[in-house]
Amino acid sequence: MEIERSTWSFAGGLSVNRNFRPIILLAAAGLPLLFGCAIQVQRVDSNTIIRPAQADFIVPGRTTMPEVVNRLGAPQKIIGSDDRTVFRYEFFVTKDLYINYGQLIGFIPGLAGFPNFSLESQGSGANVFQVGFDRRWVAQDYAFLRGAEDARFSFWPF
Amino acid sequence: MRLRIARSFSLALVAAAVVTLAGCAFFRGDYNGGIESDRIGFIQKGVTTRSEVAAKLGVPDEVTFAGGREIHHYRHYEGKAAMFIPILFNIGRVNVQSDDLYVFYTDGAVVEDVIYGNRTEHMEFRWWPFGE
Repeated sequence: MEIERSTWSFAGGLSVNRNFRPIILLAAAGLPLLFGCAIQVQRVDSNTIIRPAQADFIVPGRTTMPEVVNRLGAPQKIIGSDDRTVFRYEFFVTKDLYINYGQLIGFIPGLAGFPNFSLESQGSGANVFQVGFDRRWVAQDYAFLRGAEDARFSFWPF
Repeated sequence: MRLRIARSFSLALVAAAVVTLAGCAFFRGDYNGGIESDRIGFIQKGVTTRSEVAAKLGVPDEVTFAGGREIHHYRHYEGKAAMFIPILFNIGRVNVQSDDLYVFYTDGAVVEDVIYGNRTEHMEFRWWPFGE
């Protein structure tokens, strides 16, 4: 089952953001190494993507929590209530393309010092797979959010 | 013939300049201490208590109540970045992975279940930003 992105809203947004904080910290620490060139192609991703085909083995009402963990590993997040528990597997990606055309032109002999003129485009997205269990740890349902596929390198920001 | 030699020489010179001017950069960062499997080997389902786990692993990063259980979540993140930096452009990638340990407790504060995932152990430095 695949859910529209809008239906996810940001009901669990706070928890996603809290998980995302160390990722931002680590990415922010590593990215400055990239700055300075006329053309910059950068990508940041966190965790491993789970494809729909990898979740085919889950049969609602039959597959148990240990079976899910054995196949997919530990989730990044567990949330729930008394009667229901949800495991979330979260993958984030950011793709950034920066071109400073002025700096490129400046490499031409006689045109050094050409003013900066840069275009930059960034795409980010998240793929989330979640599976819900009842009190007996039997899977009841699962769903995908596939926003990472929309993250692309793009030359044109307009 | 002389023109061909001159052109080859120029190409070789340019190639040599590009190679010698090219650079690389690596970065590695950690968030929280590692959760190695040998550090959690002491946890036994139905035996180990919550206070024993806390004494060895410390306070969890997060406490969740789900499915009638108290769940303690210990997290470790590791980031690795690699960049290829020739003179005109740079290409790089930052990859962040997490290790997650969940300890499930019964009402009596005894370990009922453990989920452990280690994604950082075999994480590699990757610089190619395209594709998967």
